[in-house]
Amino acid sequence: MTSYVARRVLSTLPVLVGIMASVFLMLHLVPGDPIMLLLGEGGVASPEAINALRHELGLTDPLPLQFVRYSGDMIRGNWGRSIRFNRPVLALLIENGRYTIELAAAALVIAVAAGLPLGILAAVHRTRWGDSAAMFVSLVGVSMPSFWLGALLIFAFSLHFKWFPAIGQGGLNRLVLPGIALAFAPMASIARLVRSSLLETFGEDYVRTARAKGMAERVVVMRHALRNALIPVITFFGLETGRLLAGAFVVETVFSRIGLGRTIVNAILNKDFPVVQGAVLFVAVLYVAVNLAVDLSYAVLDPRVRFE
Amino acid sequence: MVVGGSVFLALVLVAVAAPIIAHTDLYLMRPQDALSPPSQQHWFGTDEFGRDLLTRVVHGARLSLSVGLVAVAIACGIGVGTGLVSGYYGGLLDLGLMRLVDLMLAFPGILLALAIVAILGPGLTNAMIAVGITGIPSYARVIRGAVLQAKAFLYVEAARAVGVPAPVILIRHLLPNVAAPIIVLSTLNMAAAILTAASLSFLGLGAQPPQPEWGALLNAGRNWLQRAWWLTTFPGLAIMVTVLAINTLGDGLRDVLDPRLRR
Repeated sequence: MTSYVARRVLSTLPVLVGIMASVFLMLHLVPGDPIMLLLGEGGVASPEAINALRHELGLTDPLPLQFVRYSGDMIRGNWGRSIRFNRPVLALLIENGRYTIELAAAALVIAVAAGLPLGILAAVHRTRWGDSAAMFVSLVGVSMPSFWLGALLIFAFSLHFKWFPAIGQGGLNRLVLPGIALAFAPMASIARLVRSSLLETFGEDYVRTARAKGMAERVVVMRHALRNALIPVITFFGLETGRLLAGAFVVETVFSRIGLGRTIVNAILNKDFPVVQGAVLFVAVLYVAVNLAVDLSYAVLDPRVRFE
Repeated sequence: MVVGGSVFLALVLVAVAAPIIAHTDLYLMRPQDALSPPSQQHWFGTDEFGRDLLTRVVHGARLSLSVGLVAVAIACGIGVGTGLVSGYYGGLLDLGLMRLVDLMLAFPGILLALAIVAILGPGLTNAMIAVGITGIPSYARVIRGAVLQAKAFLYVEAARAVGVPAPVILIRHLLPNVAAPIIVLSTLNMAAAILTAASLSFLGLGAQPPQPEWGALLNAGRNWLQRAWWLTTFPGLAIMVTVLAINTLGDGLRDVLDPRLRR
């Protein structure tokens, strides 16, 4: 078991290095001089001053050396300073990231709480009608733009019924509508996945045995089939979290919430590169961490994995 | 499924090929008509400048569809090429290319597109490129898998024995046999591309005003949600119907083409 854990953890290292390298390269891939990007627009300085700054920031060194220094900085928590706000990037990201993570987590909870029962129901009550309806609903879920759903929800439940506040963050109240908007697509996918996964387990021998033993259908489904059907679903969680985090950016904009969405979009528009790099790195690392957690959870849930 | 999908797709194509439907000038502003609800004169209503929304939505169809096509072309071209080469040659090339693909997958969904837009700058063309690049990994992986399977067949070895040069083998023999997953993947990819591009435009990073791209229209309409519901409803509906149509088509195609694959 420990070797499995160790192997999984170690396998994330090359990925992390790759991510850092990509983010590092972002600055250098932009057409133009990196130093002008870091100075920001409207910075008028003499060529000598610019050269001096260039040396100071280490931009004259060969790229690999710059990368090593960059990684060192990152690991030690120095993610640069925002050009626009003149504040440390990491602090800015954590401040805003809290709300984004909050929203993504809420959406995940909603997606699972709604998607799981729907999927189970769809699998248990199999009819030709139900099948087509389930397929259709899940297609709609994937096709509906989250920002449109958000706008519709605001219109219906905030402006019309006045049940929920439309903008801002803080408090469960303000998480409901954005959470639903963000959760809709993953919910549809989860329902579909649970349904097909369950249907597959229904064909397995142990289910047949359980039924032959005379166990109540409900017990068969909930105790035996479900546990094994959930394994691919958990993989899906890991992948979806990334999409949820990124998708949260858009939903945040609809609901005028503080969060990484606002941060990163403004940073792109303002050419505030350190913040953009930092935000991309932040989300990517979070994504890697979540997937690692999912991988490790297999060891707990599926005994077969432990003895690989 | 396929029937439903193709009907829809035909609808979409018609909408595109005939902005002749748009009887009103796209950019004509009539402030006296500003923010008027759907009526006989303006089927979808007007926006805050008095521009006819129907015209803008129909023209937006052209934009969104071309974005979808270009993005898929980029993703497909580079992705399939990568997959073919990677699967056929194997070895270090395969390892290296797949590592790159995995790296791209480490950046979830829209994040990669955002990063690319950050590098290239906001704008519809850049958004197209960004979304296109985001789609590469799926193609690369799927095609590589398919090539690995197809490589084992005798006709490949026969071709090689006769002395057919590798690129020719790739294009004339392997490619037709991996066509099925490419088609399915492309339709689904297109739907996702349109959605992602609309999201980018919604955030202000894709199409810039006064381009009537659907996502941008939605973003503009958001400000008038209470007074002019039609400004958000119709563009959003357009996005959903289009994406749904393409997804339905893709799903149907997959049902038709996949079982045949497994033979």
